[in-house]
Amino acid sequence: MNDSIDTTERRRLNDLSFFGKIMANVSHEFNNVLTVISELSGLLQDLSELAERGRPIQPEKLKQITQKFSHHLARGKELISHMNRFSHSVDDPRITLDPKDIVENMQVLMQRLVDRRQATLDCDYSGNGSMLTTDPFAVRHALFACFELLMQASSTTPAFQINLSSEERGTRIVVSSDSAFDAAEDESKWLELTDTVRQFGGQVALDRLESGVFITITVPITLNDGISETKG
Amino acid sequence: MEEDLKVLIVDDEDDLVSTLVERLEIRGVDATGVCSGTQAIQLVENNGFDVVVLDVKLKGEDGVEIMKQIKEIQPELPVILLTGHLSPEASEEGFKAGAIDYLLKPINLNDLMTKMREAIAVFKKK
Repeated sequence: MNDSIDTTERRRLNDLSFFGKIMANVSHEFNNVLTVISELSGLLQDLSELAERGRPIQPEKLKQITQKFSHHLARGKELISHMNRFSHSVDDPRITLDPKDIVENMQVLMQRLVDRRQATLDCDYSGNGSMLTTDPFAVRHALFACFELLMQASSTTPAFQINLSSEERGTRIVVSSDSAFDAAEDESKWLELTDTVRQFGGQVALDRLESGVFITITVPITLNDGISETKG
Repeated sequence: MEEDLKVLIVDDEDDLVSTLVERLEIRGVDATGVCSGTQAIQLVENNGFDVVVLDVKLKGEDGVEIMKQIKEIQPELPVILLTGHLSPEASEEGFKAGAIDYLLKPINLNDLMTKMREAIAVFKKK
């Protein structure tokens, strides 16, 4: 097996692993939503049976249950919508898009992982203004790899931040954490990140500052010859 | 139907906990619900629960680790683990750590009632 086949196979496996992690995460979250809806439905049934036996249902109670139904249905709908957008990101490796859509999509899909760490994730899109022609799946993968790197390296409950800003060459996505970090702790994940960024002809940089760790991905305005490099 | 059961429900979904507690109370169960493992550990020592129903994946906490801490305080208190997806490896880990049973989400309330009664019966026999 030559190096070029190795690279292609490695990228395929990394892409598959990323896709699987997102799907597993979303299916867990969606199951939680279904569980709450199932219990609310069961409660309505219980109250109906009690009403048949002479204990009337209070209108306020019904209103409260309905509001909870609406909340969790909206939560499920949002998840499905974002999962659908994510799934379609593999359809075309070259589309023109607003990078904010990618970050918003990933923020929703990663939220459960953030919650499980009792961490926070804030996004700032105020510096963004340009459209990009890029590989939407690879950019999502790169964003997730940054997040995983920072997540794995944080021993405490971190505050994550994603900042989006336009620059002459494209869009800069900065993923940061206020926790200490040692890149050497997960070399394979760092390789996965740099390899993924190469797929859309971008650049990646790591900065350790007093205020935290910053991973900066630059996504070029148009997809350059990063793809031809992938094909070896 | 009056059930002589005192149950602690632990899950990080507020609305799931409150709804489940209400449904159990309708069935005469004395149910208490909390949304974190830390709260659960604080409650088990002095509240005389018959059984704990504990989510495996809590926000910022590992349910299996929480169960181990509960078992240190009350070794005879049966714990049923709640999970969305059960792999053979995960179930083995839970049983080794002291879980008496698993229950899959979405929850079937009749199954939960049966498993709680069975869990208590097993521990009473010991």
